[in-house]
Amino acid sequence: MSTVKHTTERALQLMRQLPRVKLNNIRNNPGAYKTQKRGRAQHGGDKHGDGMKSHCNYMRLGYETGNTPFYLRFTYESYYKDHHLRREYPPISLNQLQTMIDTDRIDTTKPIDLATICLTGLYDFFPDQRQYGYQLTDEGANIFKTKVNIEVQHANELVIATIEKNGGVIRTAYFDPYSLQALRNPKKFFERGVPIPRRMIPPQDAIEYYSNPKNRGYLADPEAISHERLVLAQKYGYELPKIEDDVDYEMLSETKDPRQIFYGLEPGIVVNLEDKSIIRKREN
Amino acid sequence: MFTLKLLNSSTISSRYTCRYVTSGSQKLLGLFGKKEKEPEPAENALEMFDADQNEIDSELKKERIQAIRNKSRLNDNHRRLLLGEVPYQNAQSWVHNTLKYKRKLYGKLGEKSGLDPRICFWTHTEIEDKNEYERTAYPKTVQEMIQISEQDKKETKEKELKRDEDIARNLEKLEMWKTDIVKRKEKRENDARVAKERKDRLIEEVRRHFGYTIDIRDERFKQMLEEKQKQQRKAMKESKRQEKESKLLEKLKSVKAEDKLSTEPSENSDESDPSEEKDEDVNQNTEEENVKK
Repeated sequence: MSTVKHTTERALQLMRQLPRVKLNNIRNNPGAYKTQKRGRAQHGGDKHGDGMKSHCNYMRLGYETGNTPFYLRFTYESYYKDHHLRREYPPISLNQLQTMIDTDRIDTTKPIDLATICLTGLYDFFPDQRQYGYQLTDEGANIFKTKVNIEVQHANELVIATIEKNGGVIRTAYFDPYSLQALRNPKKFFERGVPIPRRMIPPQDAIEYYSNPKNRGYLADPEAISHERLVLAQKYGYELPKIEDDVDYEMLSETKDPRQIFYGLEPGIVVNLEDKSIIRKREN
Repeated sequence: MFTLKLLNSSTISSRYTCRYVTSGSQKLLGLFGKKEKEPEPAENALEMFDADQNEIDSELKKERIQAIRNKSRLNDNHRRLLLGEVPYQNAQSWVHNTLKYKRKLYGKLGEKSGLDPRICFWTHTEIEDKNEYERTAYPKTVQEMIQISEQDKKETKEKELKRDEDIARNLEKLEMWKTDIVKRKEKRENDARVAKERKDRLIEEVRRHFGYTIDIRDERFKQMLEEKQKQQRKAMKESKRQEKESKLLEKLKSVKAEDKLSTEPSENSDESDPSEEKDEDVNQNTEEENVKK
């Protein structure tokens, strides 16, 4: 008796195993409802539901009186493909930089950083919109006359040449979005009461740029960079100033570790602005 | 005329008693409150009791002064927040008990918050999470990534070079290919023409054989045509065979000629067989060389 299963028993057994009845696993009986199709051709088209005698009604948006409408002609337009993955670097010209220096918004006795530019109050960038920092543009290269130690996220050859000609130092560095949020508003970051994070390494398509000494990348070999400095000086025809003999050598040679976000502050420490204190974990 | 609105006696006693006591206006005390009889204390205890009481009194006084000064009509918590103090003395929501809130509080107020700064550092689970995230999001080291990018560049360059070489090689053969195509086309046309001519000739023959005009598609005609085609094929095969035979014969002749040439000099030479005398190898070598030439 147990082996022989009647249909009802089978049905009940099946029911016990099936998932709960929900809207997504049931459907109407066949013929219960008709899909509404737009009227076309002889039966349904023609006057498009506006009767015989009245003047014509409004056609649906995009309709082009019969020919394939523009919005249906192209099945694929890849203008914005991967746009959400492309990094943006909002520009700052050398002109703007010089103006900021001249109007005392930037202190050139200290290294210039992404944080410095944001704290001038004149410029802001938005990491959540795939903006990964600033790029220095060459507009104003002819009037730039300051010795600076600057760190940006992108710079072209002329900009690098200009800054180095004036006895300065330029580096291109990558900051991941979390670090960018910290740099953009350091006060707000420290008020969170969390330790300073580690800066992450660049993605694969950016690693080439930041490891190239021609771009003064922060991952490049320092010796290669000094060689490229000479090459650039010869290319643009200026005498390369000797930074070692400079009065501000210490300031000019100050760089960040690839895992460091703020100058002078290592990752893992808690900084409190109210108490003006730094709290570190004990070694043991 | 005016209705005097007198305050509650309890509020009066809490807010104003101290003031009037210290100012020393005994008269007013009589107006607003009962004259409290001070008990007779022991000497030492009295001094201490007085000191404490004075302290408490001064604190209470301060509080009351502050309360009077506070005309902001703000919520107490909001006022404390504005003044940079700990806003909520007791947790009024589950949010106030979260680690995130406490860290923020410490971040904003520092030691004034009364919190242990150790809460600011990451917990074990948080550290593990962060490490795991880093391991999955950034699995390769910088050196590895640089190597990969260099390799990619190299590969693309090699690919391009190879493609260029292939194209160059093909360009050399281009003219040859062009002529090949033309030849093939000509051959195809030729063959078709020849076959057509052959067929036409056969048809003519058959027609002549019959004598009278007969339709091509007639059965008798077709049979005749088939026979003639067979004959033709046989003839062609025979001719091909003969060609092959003649070619073979030519080859054999040429081989024989070579053999004869090779055997002749050994017979003509004055010296004895090379196998017997090995001392005169030099002379023999020169003769062999002559033969080869």
